[in-house]
Amino acid sequence: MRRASIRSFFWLLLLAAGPALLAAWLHPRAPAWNRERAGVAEVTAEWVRARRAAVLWVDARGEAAFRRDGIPGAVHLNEERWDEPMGEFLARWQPGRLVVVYCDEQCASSQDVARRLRREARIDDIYVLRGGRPAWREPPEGERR
Amino acid sequence: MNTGRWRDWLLRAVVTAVFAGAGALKAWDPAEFAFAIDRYRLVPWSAAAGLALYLPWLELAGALGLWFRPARGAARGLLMGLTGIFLVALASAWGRGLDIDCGCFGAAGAGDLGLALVRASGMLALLWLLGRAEAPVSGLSLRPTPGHR
Repeated sequence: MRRASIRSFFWLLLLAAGPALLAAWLHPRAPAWNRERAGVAEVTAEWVRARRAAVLWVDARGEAAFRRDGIPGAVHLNEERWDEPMGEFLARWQPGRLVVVYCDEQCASSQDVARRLRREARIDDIYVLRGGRPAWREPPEGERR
Repeated sequence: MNTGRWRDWLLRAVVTAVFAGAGALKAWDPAEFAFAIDRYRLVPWSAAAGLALYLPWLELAGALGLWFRPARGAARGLLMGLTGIFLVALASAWGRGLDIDCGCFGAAGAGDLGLALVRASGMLALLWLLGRAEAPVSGLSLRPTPGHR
């Protein structure tokens, strides 16, 4: 009985391995094996809202967009404007503080900036806001902490 | 069908629904699940990527195995093992004060670690109950039946 169970157990492990290998090969959302290529995890506005006291925003858009509707308190940092705001960023960031990078709804600059920050500043708690700036609405005055 | 069989069937259906649902959601978006595993900071990224591809299908295989009598014990053991490992990972993240989503249902989130610990413990209890409910029927009980020498 026990031998049959052990055999069944290995059959189940093998049964799962087939589709897993196929997914690694063919799945459009298969994770990259290299962390750098895998990008940075996306989080929703609700997720950020629940932790907003501990969030340091990074606006990866251009100057005009940042001036128009940048999230209050955000650091303006992008590939064209890196060295100078990096000092401000490092002065405000502390271990344990979450960094959330955003750009517009359809853009890649938040991923690029988040990856570069992770690589150069060696920050693990870094995320990209899903849906970009349009996804974030400031909470009502009474809810702000 | 007597009451015991109904209870056994219902328990199996509940456990199957939870594991098959969780497995399907994670299999749908393994990249997101890899990030969820990575946030526990227990394994390197390449291992998180491999686990994100394999674990959802293990959950599905375990859920499927519960409905085939010869594989039932093994499937239950597999699901208990997965749940046990998950409980250790949750407790470790909780102990280290990580502020993360459990990743229990892939990109669908499913709440904070405390809630996930309670839910996973409940699943472990259900799997144990399922083993107890099945034992006399499938002949897995080690206790001799009355009148049997």
